[in-house]
Amino acid sequence: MSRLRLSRRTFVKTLIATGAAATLPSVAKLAETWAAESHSPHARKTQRRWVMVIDLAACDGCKKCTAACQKEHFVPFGQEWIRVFETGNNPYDKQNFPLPCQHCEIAPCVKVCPVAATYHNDEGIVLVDHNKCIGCRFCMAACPYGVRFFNWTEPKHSPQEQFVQYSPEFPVPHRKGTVEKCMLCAHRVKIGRLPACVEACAAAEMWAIWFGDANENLVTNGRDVAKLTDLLAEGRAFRYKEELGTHPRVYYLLPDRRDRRPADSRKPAGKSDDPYRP
Amino acid sequence: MRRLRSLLFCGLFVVALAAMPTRVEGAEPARVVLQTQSAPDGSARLTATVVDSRGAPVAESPVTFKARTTFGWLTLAETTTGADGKARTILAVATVVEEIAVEVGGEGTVRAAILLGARRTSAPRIRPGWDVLRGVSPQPGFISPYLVPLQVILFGMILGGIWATYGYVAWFLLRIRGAR
Amino acid sequence: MPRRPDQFSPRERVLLASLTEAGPGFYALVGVLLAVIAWGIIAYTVQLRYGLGVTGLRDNFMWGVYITNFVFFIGVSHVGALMSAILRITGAEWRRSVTRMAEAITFASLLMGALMPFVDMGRPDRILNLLLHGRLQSPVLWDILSISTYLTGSTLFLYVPMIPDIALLRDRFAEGPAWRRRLYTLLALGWKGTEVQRHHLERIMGIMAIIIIPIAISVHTVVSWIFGMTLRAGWNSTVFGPYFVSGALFSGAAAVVTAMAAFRWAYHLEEYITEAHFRRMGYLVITLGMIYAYFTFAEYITPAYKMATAERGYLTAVFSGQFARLFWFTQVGGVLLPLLLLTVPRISWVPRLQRVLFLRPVPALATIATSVAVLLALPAVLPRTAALGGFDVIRQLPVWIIGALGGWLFLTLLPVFRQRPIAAAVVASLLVNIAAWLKRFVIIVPTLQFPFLPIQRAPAGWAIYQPTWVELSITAAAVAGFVLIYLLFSKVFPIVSIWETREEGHRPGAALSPAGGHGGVADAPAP
Repeated sequence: MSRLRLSRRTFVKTLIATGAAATLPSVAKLAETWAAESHSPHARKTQRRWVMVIDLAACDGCKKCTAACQKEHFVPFGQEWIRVFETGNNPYDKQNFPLPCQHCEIAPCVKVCPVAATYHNDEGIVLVDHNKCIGCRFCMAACPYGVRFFNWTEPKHSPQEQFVQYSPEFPVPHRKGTVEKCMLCAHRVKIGRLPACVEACAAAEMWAIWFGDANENLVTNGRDVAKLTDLLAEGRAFRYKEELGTHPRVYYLLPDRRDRRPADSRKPAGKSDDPYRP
Repeated sequence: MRRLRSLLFCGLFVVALAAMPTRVEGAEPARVVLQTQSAPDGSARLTATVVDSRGAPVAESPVTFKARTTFGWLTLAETTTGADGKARTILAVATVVEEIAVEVGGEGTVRAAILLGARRTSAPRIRPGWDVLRGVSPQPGFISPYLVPLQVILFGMILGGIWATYGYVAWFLLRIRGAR
Repeated sequence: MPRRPDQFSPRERVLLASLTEAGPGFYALVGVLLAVIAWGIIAYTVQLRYGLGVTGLRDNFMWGVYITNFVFFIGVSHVGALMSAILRITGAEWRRSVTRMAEAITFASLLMGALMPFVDMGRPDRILNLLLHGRLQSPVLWDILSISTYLTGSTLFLYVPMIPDIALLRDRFAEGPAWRRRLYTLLALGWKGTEVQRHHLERIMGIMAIIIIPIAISVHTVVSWIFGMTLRAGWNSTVFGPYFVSGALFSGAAAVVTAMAAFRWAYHLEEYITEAHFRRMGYLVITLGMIYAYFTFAEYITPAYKMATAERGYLTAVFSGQFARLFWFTQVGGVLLPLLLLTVPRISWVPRLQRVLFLRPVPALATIATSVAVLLALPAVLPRTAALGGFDVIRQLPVWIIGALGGWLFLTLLPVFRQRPIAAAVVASLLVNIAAWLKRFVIIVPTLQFPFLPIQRAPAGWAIYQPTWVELSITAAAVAGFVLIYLLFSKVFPIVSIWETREEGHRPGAALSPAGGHGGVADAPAP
């Protein structure tokens, strides 16, 4: 009789051993994670916390930011990583509303990603790893801002694009079947340059988009440098759909506030004498 | 004689200049000295002393304190010098700035700069990963790209229980097979 | 006196006929199904080659028909847990002849449902990333874990009560084709029907019946959470879990009714699947339908009463806008009408309807046909009457007329349905399933049509979701695959449990007698 016979004890032993074998890799990964996190070189180093401030009073809806972004990133057809919406119910209260990725601190897209392909980098920018993305588009469903796009077909590749070395910070060349979005020009800010849309807005002499480091509490629009907190206070700043609890890193300055340009850095700094208090 | 008298007058005038350094028209700021003094609480006091070419303090001279930032120079404060030729401002606690400059006069022709060294804050308020778990974020664990112990335990308990039951059932199937 | 292996008892001959006999109808059906599946595979290769751009999906409509299919099939699969577990625990003996049908539906539709997210993936080549880099925080992982757990559980649940039958087949097909012998010998696990074996089997069924219920509930709850865990207006709902579970049970029970009728007709199982079974299943469908209707009401009335800005768009579109026809069809044609079809024919005054002249079939159908012809001619006339002004009443007149004619048709057909309750049940269950699919579509698409910021500056044709031939072909292939798996299953294994129905002594209708044995292991085939 070659029938398999198992006693209860053997069976339980086998079960436990199998279970342990199955869980060991994940436990090892967990331990590795803990070790990596507690001894992370970033744990004590200075962190950037990039923020963007968009002055709705200054924006005239020329869409040069969109064009510059598309040129910079070879953005595929049908996508606008910073899209200028027109809001308002009638021509008299028409308002231009540029909408890049909000780079939320509690990002719904990062929450739902099944493979951690979309993640925060150390500077708070929400990036997509196009080598990992499986194209399930759950992040697009989860994003309340609708700023994520998908390469539905193989994107057209321009000759220059072919020579770019891919990195999540500069996701070129683009890949079919993966999700795309604004990367806050992570490749530029890394070397101290402003994002393409900010530069384009300054080149158009509108200076509507500010960019900077919230830890430094400083932002610039390509002409002036201002303290973030002052700019936000004087500009009656809000964050779009803040009530959703996503903690966006993009601020908007109200279009109809009384003082037209609060961002004049030449102005005396009000009652507060400490410029850096966040 | 007349010539001598005028010379003497000139000399007196120079003495008077020296004696009354302020309120002399035409005294051009030639040099500025920037000093920092740290306070026990971590803040820093910035003092700029403006003197003219002869080393005399220049009063009521416009002074601009600036800080070097990632994307350019930020104006910290615009003041004028006092009677002693000094202008002051305070750098707040935990300021993240590496270089402070002071400029005198409208064109900023006279300037000094000082490197503050590593006056940097530590971590940002919310960082992805395990910082989220450290009580800063209202979303413990959901943002993290890593496995979170609590979730692993929870899933392990539920799924482990179910699959162990399946295993138990499979064992019974084997017993059916072995039964006679 | 043990039977000789080649001897078929009369009732076995009926129940096993489907395994041995295959007429031209069977081959024709398999051929058609294979053709549809092949066409779907062609469509999928086109999608693989050119990307998801060949579908109607676009940035604003990132999910569409595939996810609709996913929710639909996973929903239908819930009936297995309902029939085998809940009815087993509550001791409803009439379930015995339909349990295996329900379990097989679970198996087939789970396979098709689990396939759909992979068809929907932009990069199916990276499927292993789900294991290598899987995040437990993502509802997608919850889906994978719960569906694979449920698939394993329901396969066990399908297989274990089949062991005595497989043993019977092993004995009966001792002279049959080699693959059958090997398969049955392998799966029968050396079943001889001894006391110990029966005890073990009963033990297993007791455990599985308990554990499968929370698993099944968790599966569809988790499926609903791929919507419920987002911030979008229309999906951001706390009731989605139970709502989806109730819809799943409703559509699954209806699918069982359809399957019962199909097998009863095709395999001549009138003796085992009686009108009484349809009546019982009808009660079940009615109950589940009422629960589902309640959840639908709760799901829509709460946002509709408040009419928050974010929800105004999709609610208006669903109630009276571009999705209104679909939505009201799912509610009237998919819930109200089936429930009426299952209840009204039993009411005593229904035959009296035939006394009314306008409800007699011939005059009524003639009048209705004339009206429909006039209606079809109306669009040619309507543009001129539009000059009367934008009176909504005139614009909506065709809808009301169609509704009235439908009601009339219903009243006319009521006496017919009273005479043929099985036909009524089948019509009702088909309606339920069609509407269930459409309802999942109406849950997914309108919300995507109305994001927080209106769809602007999208390329031409990207602001509307229109499923393409690729999506429809793959959907058809999935349905065909479901039917094919089900059909082939019924050709390999008996679709009605032989040993579980035996103890009733196969008296017609006896399956419903409360005196039927409990536990169902008393009469296993003798060795």
